[in-house]
Amino acid sequence: MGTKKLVIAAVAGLLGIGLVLGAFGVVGFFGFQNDANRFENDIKAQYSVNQNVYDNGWKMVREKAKVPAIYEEQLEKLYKSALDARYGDQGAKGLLLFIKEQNPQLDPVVYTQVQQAVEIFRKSFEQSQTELVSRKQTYSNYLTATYSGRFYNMFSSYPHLDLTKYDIVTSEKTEADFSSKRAPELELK
Amino acid sequence: MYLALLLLLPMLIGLGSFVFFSRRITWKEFVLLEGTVVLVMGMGYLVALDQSTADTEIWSGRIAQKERVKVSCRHSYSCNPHSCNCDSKGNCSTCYDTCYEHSFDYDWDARSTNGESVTINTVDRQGLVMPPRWGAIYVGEPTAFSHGFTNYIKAVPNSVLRRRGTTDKFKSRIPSYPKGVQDYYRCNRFLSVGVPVNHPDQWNWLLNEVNADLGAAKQVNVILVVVNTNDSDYQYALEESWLGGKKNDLIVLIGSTQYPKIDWVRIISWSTSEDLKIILRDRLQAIGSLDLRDSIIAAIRQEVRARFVRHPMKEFKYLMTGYQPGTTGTLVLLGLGVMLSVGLSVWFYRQDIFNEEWRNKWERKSW
Repeated sequence: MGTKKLVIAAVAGLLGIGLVLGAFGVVGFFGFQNDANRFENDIKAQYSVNQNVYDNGWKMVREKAKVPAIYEEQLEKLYKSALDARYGDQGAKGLLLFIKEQNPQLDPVVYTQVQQAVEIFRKSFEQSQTELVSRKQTYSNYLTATYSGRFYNMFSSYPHLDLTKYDIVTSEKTEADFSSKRAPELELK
Repeated sequence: MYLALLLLLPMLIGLGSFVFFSRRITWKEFVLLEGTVVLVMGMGYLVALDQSTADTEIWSGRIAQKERVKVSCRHSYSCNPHSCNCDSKGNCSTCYDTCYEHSFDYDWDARSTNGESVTINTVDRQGLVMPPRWGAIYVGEPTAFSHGFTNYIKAVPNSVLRRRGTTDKFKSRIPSYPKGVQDYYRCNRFLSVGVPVNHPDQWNWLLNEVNADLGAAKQVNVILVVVNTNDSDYQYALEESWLGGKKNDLIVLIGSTQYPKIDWVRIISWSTSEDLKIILRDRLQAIGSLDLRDSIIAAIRQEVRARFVRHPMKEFKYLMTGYQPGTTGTLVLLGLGVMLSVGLSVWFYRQDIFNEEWRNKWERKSW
């Protein structure tokens, strides 16, 4: 085979390989965009689910405790605290005390049910928040720690979503402790 | 992209071989070489993917029917030697017929309410004698069969959904996951870790009954673990070791340092039925003693029936986005591709498999 034919064969071979890899590349690029868009949609959806779980949580407690409408706002505040620390001064203890004061005729069984309701929704909320963190972690890994993400994102600039808007909900105390990098000892009295 | 990058080197090796040995490797051989590399590496990737997610779970049910089935005989042998394939010179080969030891065999089968079937080993060659194990099967007996499923959580060790760093404290006290189905369709779902529980076989029998009743309807597999520690952090260690259990598992964990007193109770499950986990925990804690076995089993049965909802594994499929095998897996795949490409190049250099090198025949060298 002459030099000319050799060059033609090499170029044709390269073109063939380029076509195969190019096909992979094009399909992969659209696949990457689909995945990234899906992640962003799912993160937004999960955030709404979290809001829904949170909202249902305190409404359930209100219904179980049969708290009059005028006290709902106070109950919601206490419920928020109870979600954060079940055994703290601002936790379920405070919530139950509030219910007792507002409705002293309630059957003692109801208090147990309220306590369970608080914990169920605290756990549900925690589970929903973990799900949100997991989706954000997987998305972030996809963009920065996979061959596909690192390569294709050079042409796409994901995330297109401000992920900081979809952070989990924490308490002021947690924020303060993490900012100061100091965790005061728990006071159980 | 991962696969494309992985294919690049082996495919370039193929191209280099084709260009430098163009007199010995034809177009067709080149295309075959590259096609084989793409196919084998693609399959290797899929196998790696499957290996990382393959898992098994237990499905529960009951024996729905048992029957003796007449089947064709399985015991063949060569018989009746005779001459065959004779050539023009009268040289013949010896051929044999296939004969069977019996005109039929018997299978001793049982079928579960989930449609699973099991064939009991026969005690004689033909299966005429009823196997005692088959005789012991009764309609309504609880069954446990292992089924494969895709476990996305297993493939992603660094996911926040998986616990890490909690097992050290309890290393010697974490039992193996009870996934083994023994004796055709039986399974041990009661595990005692350092607690002298009375009659563990009866606990297991009761748990199997609960699972048989609820297994199919609720898609659940209830396991009970009793452990001798007052530290409820054991829950996290077990979760880490067992990857949170299988997708249909509900693991009831009871801590007991002074048998039969119950110190603490925790429920582990991928189910998002948090009400079940908390209400069942409180009920079992209120029972307070492992001596009240029937009350404990009844509480589990009632709460699971009322509240358990299995969390579909497909909800975790997003974890696999951009999945790629680890460094070792990648190097193995790359090594496989390179070896395949080099091996096929050498083979096509030496062999003219499409009989097309006649044009260059005068240039062939013998190896």
